[in-house]
Amino acid sequence: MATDKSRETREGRVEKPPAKNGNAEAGVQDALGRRLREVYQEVVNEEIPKDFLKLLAELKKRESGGDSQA
Amino acid sequence: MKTPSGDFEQNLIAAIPHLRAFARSFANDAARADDLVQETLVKAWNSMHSFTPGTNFRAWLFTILRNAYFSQHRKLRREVDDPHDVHVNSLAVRPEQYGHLDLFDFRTALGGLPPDQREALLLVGAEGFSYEEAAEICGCAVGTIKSRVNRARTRLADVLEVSGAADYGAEPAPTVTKSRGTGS
Repeated sequence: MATDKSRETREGRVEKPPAKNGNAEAGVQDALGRRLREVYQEVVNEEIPKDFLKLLAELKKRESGGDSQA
Repeated sequence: MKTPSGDFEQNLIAAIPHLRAFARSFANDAARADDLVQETLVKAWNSMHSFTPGTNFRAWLFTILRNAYFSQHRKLRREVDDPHDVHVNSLAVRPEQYGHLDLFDFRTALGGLPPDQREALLLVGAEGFSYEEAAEICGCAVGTIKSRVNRARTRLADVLEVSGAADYGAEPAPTVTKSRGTGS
């Protein structure tokens, strides 16, 4: 899933100094977005626990080997 | 034999990390979130043929996960007295691993959002779904998603500003960044 669209403004663009509310707010929202992705990404980056792969293997086995075949 | 489930399986595996992250925003703890994901995988597998190729696979899975959660949660609420329907989402409660106070604050703030707002924010802001996709996943109007996301953002900004949003961004508020390097 492309999630990069909201990131593109951050890469060292020339920006105006944080003068008025608008900019400050944008800065806060930018920081928030970054934090949000960090928090979320922490979990996404975790290794998939073995249980999940076992479960899938089992589902597959069930499918190809009849209902109760081991 | 060669099964059509091969690709399906690969896609499922690729989606697991995302399902886990999303599930944690609902569930009380990580173990429960993982249970929910497992349930989702079984349901997805069993209804493999109802997936329309060419549509967003991950969105399809997220919808299943969400439905699984809500049907389970309704059952649970009948069993357990949970009058306020409060659940701390477990994205918010893993402070031990994160020394940074600001990250912790952020998690707390995120956990304090109304669930529908948090969900919309995560789908759009973290998972990268379009408003339209998020609306489909949540079974509501696009405008509803937009307003939830906006309210969530405003609320987070308010909460975190109190605790010092200024020192909260890793990068300071944007300043003039000259493209330097060449031309010494």
